[in-house]
Amino acid sequence: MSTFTLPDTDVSIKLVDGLTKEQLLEFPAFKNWIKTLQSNLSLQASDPSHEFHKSPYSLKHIQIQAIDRFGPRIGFMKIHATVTNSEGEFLPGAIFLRGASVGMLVVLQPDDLPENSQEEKYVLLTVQPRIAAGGLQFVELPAGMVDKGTFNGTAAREIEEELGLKIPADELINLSELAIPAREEGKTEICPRAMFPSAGGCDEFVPIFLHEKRIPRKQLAEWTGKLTGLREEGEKITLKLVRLEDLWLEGARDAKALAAWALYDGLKRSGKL
Amino acid sequence: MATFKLDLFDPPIDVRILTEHVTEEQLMNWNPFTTWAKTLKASLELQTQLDHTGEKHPFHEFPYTVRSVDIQAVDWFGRGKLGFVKLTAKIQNEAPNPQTLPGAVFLRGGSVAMLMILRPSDSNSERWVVMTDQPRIPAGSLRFWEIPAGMIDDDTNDFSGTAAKEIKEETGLVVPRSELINLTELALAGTQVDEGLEDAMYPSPGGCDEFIAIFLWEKVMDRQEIENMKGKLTGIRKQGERITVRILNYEDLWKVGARDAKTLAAWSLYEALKRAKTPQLRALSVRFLVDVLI
Repeated sequence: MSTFTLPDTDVSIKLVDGLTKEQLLEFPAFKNWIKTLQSNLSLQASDPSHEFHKSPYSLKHIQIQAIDRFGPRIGFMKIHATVTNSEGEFLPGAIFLRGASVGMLVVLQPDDLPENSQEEKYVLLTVQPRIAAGGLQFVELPAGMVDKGTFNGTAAREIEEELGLKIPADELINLSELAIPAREEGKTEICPRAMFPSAGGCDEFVPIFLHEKRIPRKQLAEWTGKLTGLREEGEKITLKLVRLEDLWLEGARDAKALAAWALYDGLKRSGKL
Repeated sequence: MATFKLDLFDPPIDVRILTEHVTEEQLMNWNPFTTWAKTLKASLELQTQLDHTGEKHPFHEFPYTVRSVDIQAVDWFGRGKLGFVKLTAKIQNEAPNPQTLPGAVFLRGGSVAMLMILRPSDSNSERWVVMTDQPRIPAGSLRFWEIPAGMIDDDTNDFSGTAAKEIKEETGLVVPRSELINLTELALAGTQVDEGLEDAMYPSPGGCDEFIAIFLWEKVMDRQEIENMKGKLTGIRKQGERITVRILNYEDLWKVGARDAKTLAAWSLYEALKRAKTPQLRALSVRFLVDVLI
């Protein structure tokens, strides 16, 4: 268990066994989080009207408590950050560090309807075990990553296997970025334009992407049939198709599904989509 | 490193405590841990049963079981309260090529969020929403906007916690349980799901047990009262104030609150339920003397 100082700072960091300094500093979630935090902490001094200008908070110490690896790659970290000011006040610093992921709103519509029709739109949802929630059939908006030019991950793989549908990055609309302006009036913090599931305890942020596709009615019927048919024994993740207007209900327990419904509805009604 | 047998699962499993900061007794007395174990156990038991439509469970042939749990780290809040637990569960089946399920869990238990809507008595369409603006170090931000979050106090049954306290101080508003409508519960009324999941929103079910009951609290007030509140709460945050209360026009809620899962969830449920004009909502609106259908 070794301690080192974060380069170019006064922040001391205590590692755990099995984690080296280099591995920590290369972990994307850690890099992004610390960069964002340091930048926003520096506003306290540079902005005389900042609410913490008189007694600014600073990051003093980070304790790495636990890591989870997916193979050789670091997946999650549990850390505790000591953020305090000269009055001896602390900000809550327990963090489940896991980085960003994406939520994918896949909307399908028969292509024999008029171009501007909002009728007969369907959404793909995933059903899979979510041990943390204590369920084996948790319904969610597909989650994953967008890298190397496509939507990737378990859900993406399942969508491609079952439906032959690949979701390329250049056919995506970032709904979060449409809703959240780039430089907000009176605000100068850096903050990802994405949905934060639990900002009080986790760094995770999830931009919600839209992939809207018009397909032959026959194909939609085929896909619907396929997905309501007999599930393959033991398959960990399955898909279901629901009406877009029912997304909030079918996905009522899932933050991503509700966020997607909200953003799609809000953006459509305000004419931005 | 302590190990104990957890008989909440069948067969009982070994729990290894890899941190010196918690004991078996403290863990077993901590509601989020026992609730998580019981919920998971019940879901696992469904694997060998037929569901409510008479169908076999997808994992019927090779059901998963929990083999062991490692408690990796804990965080304590003030006053001796266990706050968070990070654990890993090993969950496997007996297939010829054994499959495992991702078992990393950040345990923190449930909480509540409030969609607090203030309506001037002289308008049918105008609405204002109470928001909080506070540091959220995990998000790297010192000014993170959310709808108020907290707990329902066991004794008083009021919305409680840091946000509730600040809201009461700044606006005088107190939110009793009897005036709350659980939007998720309302949304899910009449649907049937086999697993014992909460009637709440799960922010990140892939890695965290957290579930947040989204409550609606709508109050009709004198316009002047609302204007006074707005006047008091706009502008630069007071020096050193940890949590700031804001009043936001409802029309801007989905945009200004678009970074907060709770805000988007509450907005969705509120908007969808209003438009659905469900019988439940109609009955409730009469009860609360507020026409929530407008």
